[in-house]
Amino acid sequence: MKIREISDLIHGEILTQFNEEKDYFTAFACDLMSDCLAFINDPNCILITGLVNEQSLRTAEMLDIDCIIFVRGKPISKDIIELGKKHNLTLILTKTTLFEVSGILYQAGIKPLQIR
Amino acid sequence: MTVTFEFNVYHEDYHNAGVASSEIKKYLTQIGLNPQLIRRIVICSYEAEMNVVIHSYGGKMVLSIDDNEIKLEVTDTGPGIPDIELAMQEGYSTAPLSARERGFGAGMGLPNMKKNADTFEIASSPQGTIVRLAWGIL
Repeated sequence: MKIREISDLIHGEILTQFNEEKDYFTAFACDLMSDCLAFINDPNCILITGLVNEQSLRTAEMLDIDCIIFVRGKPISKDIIELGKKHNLTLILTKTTLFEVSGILYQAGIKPLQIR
Repeated sequence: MTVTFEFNVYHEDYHNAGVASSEIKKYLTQIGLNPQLIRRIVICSYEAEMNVVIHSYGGKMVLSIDDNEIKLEVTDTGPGIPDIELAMQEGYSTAPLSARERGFGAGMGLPNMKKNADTFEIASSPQGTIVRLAWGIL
């Protein structure tokens, strides 16, 4: 599924966008970055999180993930957007909750990661 | 020939936490290392960097690379880990709220490092902790 379609489904706002033609097939929803580092095994995965700070972007960078959906409508600072641009990350903001975003994307065909 | 990089890491400097690991990743990508190996190295490096930021008075990370091996040595100046065996258990954490608010402190750091390094050594005293990690280059 492409970024535009994902964003439309969750009533999102695309803050930074790279690679609009890329297809995403999996997602991982989590606010614990160590769990992301432990369990995300697919760089084509979308990270869905309510954690809006440098650490969520750094975690994505380490895992080669290039798309983060920030849920619950938390304000995003200019610094975060600039860091996202610097590391070629697509950042989407939505007011929808983590549970609902996960449900909408699951229903639309995005699969969970197979862990361990 | 061995190439060495050194990074200082400061207590509770969350704004810059991850910058050293980002630089490490950039360098390892430039030299054309296998992406899977880079991923394992930077997961360890980022966890180790966050541990220094969260739990220590400050420290440093030294990365050295030769033809056969990549080594990462992370040292800090205390206060040390009272029970390493307990700290190695998944889910055990002594992290403060400031770390948890930033998505860390879930007790996965040291187990993540052990899982992703070819060799993992840790020693600790009240004067400081030293973590030595190494990966073979195939």
